[in-house]
Amino acid sequence: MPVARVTLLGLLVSCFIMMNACSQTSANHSSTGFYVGSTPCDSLIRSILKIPADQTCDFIKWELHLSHPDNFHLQAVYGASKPNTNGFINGTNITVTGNYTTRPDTTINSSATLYQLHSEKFLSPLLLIELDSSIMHFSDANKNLLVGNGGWGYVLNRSNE
Amino acid sequence: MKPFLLLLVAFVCLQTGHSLAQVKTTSDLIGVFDGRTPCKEFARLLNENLPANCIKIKWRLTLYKDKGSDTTGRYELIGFVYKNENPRVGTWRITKGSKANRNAIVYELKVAGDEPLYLLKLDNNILYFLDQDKRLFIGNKDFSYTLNRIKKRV
Repeated sequence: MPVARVTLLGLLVSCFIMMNACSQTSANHSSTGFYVGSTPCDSLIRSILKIPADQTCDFIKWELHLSHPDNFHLQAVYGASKPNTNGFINGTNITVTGNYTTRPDTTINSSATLYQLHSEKFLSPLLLIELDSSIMHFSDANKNLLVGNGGWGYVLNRSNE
Repeated sequence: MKPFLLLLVAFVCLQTGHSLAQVKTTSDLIGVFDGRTPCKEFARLLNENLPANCIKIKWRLTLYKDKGSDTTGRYELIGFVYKNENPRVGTWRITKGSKANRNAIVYELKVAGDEPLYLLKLDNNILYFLDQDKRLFIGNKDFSYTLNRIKKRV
């Protein structure tokens, strides 16, 4: 009987540890929501999105939905910038769906989270580092933040629209 | 009277030139950072009227460090009400901690008679505007609140 009790207790403790681990993974998905932004179109992003080299891409407008448990839907538009507007002369649409994983990342701060977006339509995973609950920043595979230019940064902003 | 006025004007010109020269010669250049942000929050922050047609502000921040110091220096900021011919010029110091991260490195840009501005140092190349509570400003579909290092010789 004592052996059975110890075994039962052991099982309960194991279950608790596993459940706790699962809930922590889930807690990392704090940034489900809708994110928007405009970014430059440098070579790394071009290659991930498989934008043909002969197409003009001054910048990209992003709309990213992150939803539970781990799915994303991305709508992006790229093209030549239309002077004196925030739009394109002739934008090209990209639609991507896939899934994402998260893990803690200490590159920026001790409590940041790295989001990896996976899709067959990407050449490689798209990486975003959560700066706070409303702001994501694109990074490369080595977790270096992508440097923007005078026109745009590599940031996505939470939106309620 | 006229000679006195001329002398006065010359003195003021020399002083102005001297103070601007001080910014650029007694400090070491850290870098030049450019970016475009939405308007509204800065109008509120700086107690300025929001121009009706203002959809973005173009910024250029030039940071210099004091000799022998990595935590203080001078800066020149152009954008919004700070025009090319009349930039915001002041001193900065490094402070620690943003609302989201108590270890964050934050530049406090001070100037006489105006609110300080706060910029979070994300890394050596990217700065991010913070509000007065040191929270990250939230941008929109067109513009964010980052300043990115540009390759420009000053």
